[in-house]
Amino acid sequence: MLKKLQLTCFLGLLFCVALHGGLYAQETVDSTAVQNKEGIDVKGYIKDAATGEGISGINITVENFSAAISNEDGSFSIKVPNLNTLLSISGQGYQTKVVPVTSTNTELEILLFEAHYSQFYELAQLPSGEKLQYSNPKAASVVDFGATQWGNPINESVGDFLQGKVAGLNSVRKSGVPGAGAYLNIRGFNSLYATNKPLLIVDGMIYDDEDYGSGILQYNASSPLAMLEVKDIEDVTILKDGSSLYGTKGANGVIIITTTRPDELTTKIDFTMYGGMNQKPEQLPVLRAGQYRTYLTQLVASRGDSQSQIAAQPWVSDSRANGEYFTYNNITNWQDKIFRTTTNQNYYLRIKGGDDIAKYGLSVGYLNNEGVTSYSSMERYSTRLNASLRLTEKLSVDANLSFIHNTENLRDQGLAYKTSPFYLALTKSPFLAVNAIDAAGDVSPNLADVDIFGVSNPVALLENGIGVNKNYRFFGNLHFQYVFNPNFSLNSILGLTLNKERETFFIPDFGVADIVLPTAIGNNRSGSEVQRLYSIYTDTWLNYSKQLGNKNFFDFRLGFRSQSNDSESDLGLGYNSATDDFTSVGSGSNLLRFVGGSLGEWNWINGYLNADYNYLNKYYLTFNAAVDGSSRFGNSIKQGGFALGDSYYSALGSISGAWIVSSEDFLRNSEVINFLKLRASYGVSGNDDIGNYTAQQLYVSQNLLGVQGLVRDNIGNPELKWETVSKLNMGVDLSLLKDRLNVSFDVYQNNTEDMITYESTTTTTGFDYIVTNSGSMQTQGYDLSLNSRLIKTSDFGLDVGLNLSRYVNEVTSLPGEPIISEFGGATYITHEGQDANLFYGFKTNGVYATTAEANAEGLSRPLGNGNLLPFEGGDIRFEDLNGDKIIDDRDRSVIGNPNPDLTGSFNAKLNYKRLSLSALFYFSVGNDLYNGVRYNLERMSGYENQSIAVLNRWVAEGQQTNIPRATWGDPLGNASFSDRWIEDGSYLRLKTLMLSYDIPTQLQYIKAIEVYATANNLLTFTNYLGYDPEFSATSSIFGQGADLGLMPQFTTMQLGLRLGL
Amino acid sequence: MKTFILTNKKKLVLAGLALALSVSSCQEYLDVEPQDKLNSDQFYRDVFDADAAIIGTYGKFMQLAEKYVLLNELRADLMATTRNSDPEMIALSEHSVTADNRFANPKDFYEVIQNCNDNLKNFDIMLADKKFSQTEYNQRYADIGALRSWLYLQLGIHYGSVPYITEPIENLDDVKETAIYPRITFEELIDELVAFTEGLSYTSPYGADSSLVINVDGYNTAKFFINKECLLGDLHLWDNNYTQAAIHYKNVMETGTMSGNDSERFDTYRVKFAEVATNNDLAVGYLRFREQDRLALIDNNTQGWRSIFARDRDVLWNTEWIWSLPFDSNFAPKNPFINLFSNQGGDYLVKPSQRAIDLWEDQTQRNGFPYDARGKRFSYNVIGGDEVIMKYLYKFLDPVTQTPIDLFQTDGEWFLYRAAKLHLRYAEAANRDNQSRIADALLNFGIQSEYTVPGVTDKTDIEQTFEPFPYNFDARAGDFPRFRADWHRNGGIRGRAYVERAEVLGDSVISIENNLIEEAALELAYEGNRWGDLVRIAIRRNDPSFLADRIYEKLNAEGNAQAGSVRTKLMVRENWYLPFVWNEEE
Repeated sequence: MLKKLQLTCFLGLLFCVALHGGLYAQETVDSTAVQNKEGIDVKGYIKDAATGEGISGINITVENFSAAISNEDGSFSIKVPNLNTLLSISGQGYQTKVVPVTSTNTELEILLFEAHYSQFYELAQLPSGEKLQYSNPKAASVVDFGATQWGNPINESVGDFLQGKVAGLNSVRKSGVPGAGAYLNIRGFNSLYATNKPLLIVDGMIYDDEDYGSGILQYNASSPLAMLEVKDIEDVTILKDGSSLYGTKGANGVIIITTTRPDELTTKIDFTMYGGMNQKPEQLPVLRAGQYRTYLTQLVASRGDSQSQIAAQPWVSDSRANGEYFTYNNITNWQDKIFRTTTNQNYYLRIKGGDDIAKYGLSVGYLNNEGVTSYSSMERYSTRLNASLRLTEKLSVDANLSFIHNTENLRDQGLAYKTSPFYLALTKSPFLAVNAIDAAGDVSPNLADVDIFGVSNPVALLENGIGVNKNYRFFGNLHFQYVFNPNFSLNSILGLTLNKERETFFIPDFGVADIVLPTAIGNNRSGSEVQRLYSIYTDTWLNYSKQLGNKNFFDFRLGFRSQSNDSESDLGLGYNSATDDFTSVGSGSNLLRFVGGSLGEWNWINGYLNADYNYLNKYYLTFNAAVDGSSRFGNSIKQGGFALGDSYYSALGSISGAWIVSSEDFLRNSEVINFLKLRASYGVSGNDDIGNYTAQQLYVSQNLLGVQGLVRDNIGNPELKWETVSKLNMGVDLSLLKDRLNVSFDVYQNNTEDMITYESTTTTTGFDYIVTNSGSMQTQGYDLSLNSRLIKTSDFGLDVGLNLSRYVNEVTSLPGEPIISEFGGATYITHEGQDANLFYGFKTNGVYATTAEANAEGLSRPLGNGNLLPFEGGDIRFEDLNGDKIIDDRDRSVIGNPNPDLTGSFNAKLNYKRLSLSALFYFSVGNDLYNGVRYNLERMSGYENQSIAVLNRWVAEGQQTNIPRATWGDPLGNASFSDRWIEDGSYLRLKTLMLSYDIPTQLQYIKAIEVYATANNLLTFTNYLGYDPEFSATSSIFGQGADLGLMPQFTTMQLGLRLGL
Repeated sequence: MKTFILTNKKKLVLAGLALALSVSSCQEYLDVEPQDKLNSDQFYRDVFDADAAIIGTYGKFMQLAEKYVLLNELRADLMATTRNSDPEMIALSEHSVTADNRFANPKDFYEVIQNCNDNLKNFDIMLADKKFSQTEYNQRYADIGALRSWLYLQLGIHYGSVPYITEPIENLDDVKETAIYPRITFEELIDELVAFTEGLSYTSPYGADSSLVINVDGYNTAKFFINKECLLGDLHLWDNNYTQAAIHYKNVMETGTMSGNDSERFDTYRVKFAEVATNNDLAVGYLRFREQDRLALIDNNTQGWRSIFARDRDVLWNTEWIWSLPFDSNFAPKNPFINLFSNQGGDYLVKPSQRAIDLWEDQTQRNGFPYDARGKRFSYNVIGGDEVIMKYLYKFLDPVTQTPIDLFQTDGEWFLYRAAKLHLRYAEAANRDNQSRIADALLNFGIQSEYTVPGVTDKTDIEQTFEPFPYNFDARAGDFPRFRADWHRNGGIRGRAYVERAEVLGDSVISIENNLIEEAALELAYEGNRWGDLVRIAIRRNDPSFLADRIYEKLNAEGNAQAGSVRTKLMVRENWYLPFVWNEEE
């Protein structure tokens, strides 16, 4: 394999030399492109697919040869050089289409559909340039944003928007936090420790979607991708295979986003305004005050409190005279105190226009989304200027400049037990009140402080806490193009990313439980972090196309990219400021202040070659090769790649081919099959997310008292290199019944070799592991996408579509022992021969009804000091897998798989005159979830309020139930990580329902008025018991499917108006 | 083609140049050095880097403190587990450690060893590249070299045969190589260690002008570093080279000899007698003229025997302590001993064994009290009904109320070497080197007391050993003529501890050796010496029962049903050693 790659690279270099020679020969060869009228006459009709009537004024062209325009009745006649010619048919309001000439005997009948109707005639933006999907041999999907972006729910960012629109693109919204973004991957995952995110390319430049800070607001992550304004996007191409042109960055596929194209000569203004409502989520049923009091009484009795001790508790006494009666006899629904139904709004203005010399697209936007709590909000200002300048006949410059500023109000969430309002709202005692109450029962306007159980007041966190994330990004590039002649051009992109994020928080002392620091008790706390990313990107390439005779077409692109990155994070944490009015880090105690941060720098270069070959417009072949150098690679890599000087370079490539079967003689006249294309590709790309400095031998600071020394940090691995992912894809594109049914089906297999693992070493090395390229895994699956036009008359239309995708993962080799990892209370195992990342815990089998029953089985649990505690009646019946009668870590087994069996979507669009109704259902089948929220609500071991499920808890000998007894501290581990907490996470969701009406207007200066009514997350069908079955708390695969109690997704409804001027 | 080459020669040359230029500039572009860490090119460039390397290695070394104490004491007979101990500690105490037990994992030791290896290799390179002077090299190389030998000695004591790795791990091949490194026996290891450590060209502590001897956060760093002579003495003692051992120990004992300051000269490492008038000493003592009053015991953090463990690093402290590292609550790592020993603010994981308590109770003080105050008054106390090991807690617990002064105030020390240990070890070597009388003198009431002649006022020819180095002691203190010889203040270990002399029964060499080992238990309990002492003597005498009996007595006194079987097991030397775990996840 290596040798082949090296050879191809060498051939690529040779080609460059040949190209050099070819330049001089240019002019003579290109003379064939001169209009040549001596060809074969072809006749045909062009009809509107909806009405069946002929259309006039449609352009029919044969590239570099001839052109024609259709007559009144749709008929046309054109000369073609030979019978393998493709006619390109285009007309205002119709999707541009290519049609192979079949024969001169019969007249062609060509049906035209509205723009963006068929995937097969969309223009894909590929790393090698624009290409019509018709002839694209790779597995790519194009999503046109024009159709739905104007009614897009305010709450959805690009990642969410793409969910369900492309088979094979898996998008999981991280949480309901506005601007949270989505966990994206294409066709499952390819790596354990390196990233599984697809590469993002926006306007030709890499868009960095990493979070470079430690995230001082707990369990909140920033997502730069979510900052992109959906309405600025024209289309997105999702490239699922053959992404080798991006070398060691292409392993996870590529998402190529194109923003506003300045392509209008007349001034065109779009103005939109939206307003809507975020509906508060449905509450989880927790115990009411009386039920909780009973539960608590039983619980504290189980820790050995005597009846008199319990009776002395202030929350038990019912004497109004004791002064505390009113404090402990309230009925508070804490979830009501947190969640709110709120509003959202969005304004957006875009102006496009210009002349022959300069065209521009300018947009500004404002968005304010309040989330579903009284504190959460996201406010965004965005602006973008895309311009296209023709400086001279040959030189043009495109500028794509954007600036976005976000201000988000956030709070800790997830496992922040003392500071997450969501967790507290579920678990705080319902008999306590929000405000302080005195002995006479008078309610103070002041909030209640930390309660007798040491639990914070969630309202104090909302009202007196601060959590702000302000971030901005400048993302811009200049694209220079010099056209030597129509076949030969030089391009260069020079781009800059500047991202800054400033996060501050303050947690008050009053109303919030203290924390224990290494040297003091922390009461109030504050923090501030600044993250910065500075990245310069260049991409320079030569394009050269060549036609040999009338049958052979070549396209070449040879280019060079570079990216240098510089990231920085600085944070400070302060504690114990004098009062809660001093909220900055500087006001905290000098002794307790903590400062930290990190710096990163990495550079990447990439030389690439793309060669497209087309024979007879039927057989397409594409060859890609890329050579990468990266500061992250080790300097003595042993295999795969080559050394040049002291640095080491990867050599990767792919080859893909397509065969348009429907252009062959035997199918040319088929009535049923309009288009049939077979595709196959094999490619090798890489993943360079191996750590900036992991290959180097590093020293870190080690103190001896207050003096700093240096010690070894790692075992550097000079052999460390990229992960290699080879992708095999076979696909078929099929269009049937006069293009009314369009189907794409792909099967694929991705093999990861040289996968990064933390290989455990012997104890004598003094280190636990060394990072090596020694694992491998495989992901295989299929994608199906089906779109059909069921009904289309002039007034009425119905389109339906279906996307299905499935992947199956298997770790094929892993050095050493299985990887056991923990995240958010869940334990995962990754094992050779199995899927990566499976839930790993105890199996349970109900609850012992009686102690006799438990004794009969004779199982026990080891305590911390090694003593064994036997199970009793009311305890969970764990399965003793190793048969030693002791329930411990050795009895764990695989209890669930967070990866879905099948994901997909179903969409339907109904048009009636000017009214249109569209619905998108998204579903996920067969994925398991760890319900960490329910774990906290059913573990029955502390003062936390519980869900109503615990009303069925075991209380008396002989009771048949599936909820165990309440025991203080849970010494028998009834609540330990087991299949009790694993739930089926399958769901079906009506993700978007959109009704739009195009108001007829006679006014001269208003071109269009459209109104939209959109609902998002309107209905969710699931058996999952948490708030919502869709969440992702981490970007690592070790942690997917663990519900930590993040802000749930919610329903939004909005009304919008679009004015076209 | 040829014409092409000729016509394009200039272009080709140009292209070649461009290619060469771009390759080298690419290389520069791709050569990114870490910003918040250092890589190997950015380190070991001057003497300050070398100092940072040493500081770092000692910083890592401090993380071994808890393990060192547990391995050396809980496995032996003076320390026992409590109701809170985890099963792995219980296994350690009962000698049933299996491979999955954390104490079977030598990684912590190798982590420091590998840092030492890295230091040593790079010091060599620095010297070769003339990045620091020969003297700077000698001092630093010897320090880290000695520390590594100390670590290997500990590994040998606990794991028997271990791989003796002296090269750092720098890449995957090194990792694979360490996995197949041969394990050498304890005897072979000792030989290697003696050879290596004797080869070090500098054996004194860092000079006072060294850039490593500074004051940091209220602590002088001079005693942070290993004493190479003590280590050499220990290594020779393990190797049964008694004279050599005595020479090295004696070198340390004479540390004050060249001093111009009298108190430094007479007091440094000489185990000074009690200051009965002022009680400003390190001895067990009572208020003057109230020697029969139990309550008059000098029991505070600044006077008497207790202050050895509680006092600041002052002049008196410096006369006793040779090697000790402080834990300060302002800095990591957190003092592990609070958690280990204290039943307030700690987990109380270990306690004194009944056998240790009995040992102290069996002594008689010179005032007739039927116990050794070093036991229940100083080494342990009964707090809230629990027997609590106190040596490590004096800076944590209030001297009067015995409750934590401040839960976050966790200052303390890791006790590694002090004069009493030095004297006992020297005596052990001397006793075996036909100098039993000196050994007995140092153990009991000191040289002067042993070599004096009652009633003689002219001390010219008495109160000294008249032996050649390393057995030369002059303890004369006379007024007519006046003598104040170097050793005149030596009061003996038991003298200082205010207990009656240890009787010599039967074979004097064996009996004195027994006395010395028992005295080490009384004096140095919980300072991390006991298991080594038992192993060393048991090997020397080729008598496993010396070790097995003591463990049996400990377990038996606790009523442990395993006592008998543990004894049987320990009668085989192989069973003294912990399993050596190569791969953590076995």
